[in-house]
Amino acid sequence: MSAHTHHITSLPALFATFAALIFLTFITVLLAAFDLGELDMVVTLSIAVVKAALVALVFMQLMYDKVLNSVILVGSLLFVALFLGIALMDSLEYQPQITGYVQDNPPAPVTETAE
Amino acid sequence: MSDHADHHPFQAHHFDDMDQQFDAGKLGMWLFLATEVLFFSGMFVAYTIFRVNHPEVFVNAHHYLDKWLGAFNTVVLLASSLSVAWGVRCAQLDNRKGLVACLVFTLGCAGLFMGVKAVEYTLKFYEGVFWAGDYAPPAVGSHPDLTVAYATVNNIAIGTAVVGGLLIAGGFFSGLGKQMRGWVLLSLGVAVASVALGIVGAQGIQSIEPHLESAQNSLKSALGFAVETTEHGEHGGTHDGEHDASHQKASHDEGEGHDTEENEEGTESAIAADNSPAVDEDLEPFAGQPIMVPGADRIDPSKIELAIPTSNERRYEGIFFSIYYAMTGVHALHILGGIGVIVWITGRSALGQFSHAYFGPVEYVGLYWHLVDLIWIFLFPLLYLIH
Repeated sequence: MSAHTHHITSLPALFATFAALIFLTFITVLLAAFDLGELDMVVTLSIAVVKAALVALVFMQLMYDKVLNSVILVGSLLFVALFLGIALMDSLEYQPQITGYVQDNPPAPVTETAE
Repeated sequence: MSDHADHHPFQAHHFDDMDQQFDAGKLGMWLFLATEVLFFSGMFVAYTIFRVNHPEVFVNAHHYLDKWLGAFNTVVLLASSLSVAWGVRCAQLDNRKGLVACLVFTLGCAGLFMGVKAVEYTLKFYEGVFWAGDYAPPAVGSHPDLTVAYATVNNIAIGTAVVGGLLIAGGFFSGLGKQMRGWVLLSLGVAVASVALGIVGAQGIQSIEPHLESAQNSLKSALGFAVETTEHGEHGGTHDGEHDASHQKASHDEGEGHDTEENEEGTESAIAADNSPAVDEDLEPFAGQPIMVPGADRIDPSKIELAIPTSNERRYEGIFFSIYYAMTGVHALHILGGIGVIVWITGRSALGQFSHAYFGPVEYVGLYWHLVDLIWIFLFPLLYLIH
C-alpha cells in the first residue's frame, strides 16, 4: 500500500535537476565578474531563488508531497519576510538620528592600549 | 486497521499503520526545518540591515573571500544533495547497496566541504581577518607571508587523512555486514579522510585561480566588456586598489553635503577629516601601524595590541566578518550535525533496515541535508559574489 502512495523520483529527473543547479551556479559565478549595477542584486538573488525552488520541489519532493508540508515551508518564509521587512523599516526609520548622532559624536581616533 | 499479524518491526505501537507513521514523521521533520529557517533568518536579517546601512563595506570586505572556493563548495553540496535524493530512491526500490553507496558519497562531499572551509578559515586567521574587535587585516599593499598558514592546513590534512584512514581500517576490521559498528566507523572515516582531500583540492583550486580569472576576463572582453586591471584573490593583497578607489570617491563627496545614502562613506570620511584635519588620506599608507600621539614615547610598544582603524570603514569591515563567521560557522555546524546523522543512517542502511515499506529516517535526514544545502545556496551569492 505504501509503495503506491510514495512518489519515486526518476533518475533522469534527479540528474536533470542537478544539471540545472550546476548550470545556474556557473551562470551566477560568471555574472559576478560583470558589473550589472542595480540589477546585480536582483539577478543574483533571483538565480538563488530558482535554485532553492528546484531543490525544494524535486530533491525535497514538495512537488509530489502533501500540500501541508509546502504550507509549513512557505509559512516559515512568510514569517521571515515579516521579520526582515519590519526590521528594515525600523532601521531605516532611525537612520537619520543615528547619522546625526555619529556626526555629533565622531569616533575618537585614539589607539587602544592595554594599561 | 492495525493488524499484528503483519506488523512491521519498525512500526511504533502508537501509529495505526506505516503510512501514518511516515506522514507524521515527515510532518515533524518539516516543522523542524521551519524552525531552522527561522533560526537562520536572524542572521540573514542582520546581514540585510547591515548591508543596507553600509553598502560600501560589503564591496570592500568581500574581496577577502575567494569566490572560486565558494563555487567549488556549492558544487560539492549540490552533488551531495543529488546523492541523498538518489539514496532515498534506492531505499524506496529496496536497493541496499545503492543506498549505502549514496550515503557514503554524501559523507565524502560533507568532508570535502569542511576541508575547503578549513583552508578558508585558516588563511583568514593567519591574515588577521577576524571578527569585529579582533579585525586586523594585512596593511594595505602588503603581502602577508602565509607559509605558516599553509603548513597548518597541510598538517590538518595529514591529521585528518591519518585519522580517517584509521577509522576506515577499523571499520573493515570490525567486520562489515554483521554489526552497525563497522559501517559507522567506515563511513565516519570516509567523512574525516575527505577533509584532507578538501584541503588538497582547495589549494589546487587556488593554484589554478589565475587561469580561471584570465578565462573569465577573456570571455568578458570577447563579449565587449571592460576588463578590470586588478583582480582579487583571497590573499593576493590586491584589494587595496578597491580601497583606494572608494576612498578617493569618498574624498570627492566630502564637500557635497550628506543628503543621500550613497554618500554615507563620504560622510564618515568627512567626519574623520573634521576630527583629525587633513590627515585622513595621508594616513592610508600607514593603516595597521601605530600612530605616534603625544606621549606615545612613554607607552610600551609591546602593549599596543590593536591596529588603529583609520576610519569607521575598518570597524564596519570587522562587523561584516562577524556576520560572515556567524553565518558560515553555524552553517558548518549544521554540516557536522548532518555528518553525524548520516553516519547513523548509513549504519542502519547497511544492516538492511530500510526498504520500500520503511524508509522514513532516510527521507527525513535527506530533507535536513537538502535544507543545509538550501541555506548555502543563499549564503554563497550573498557573501562571496555580490559587489
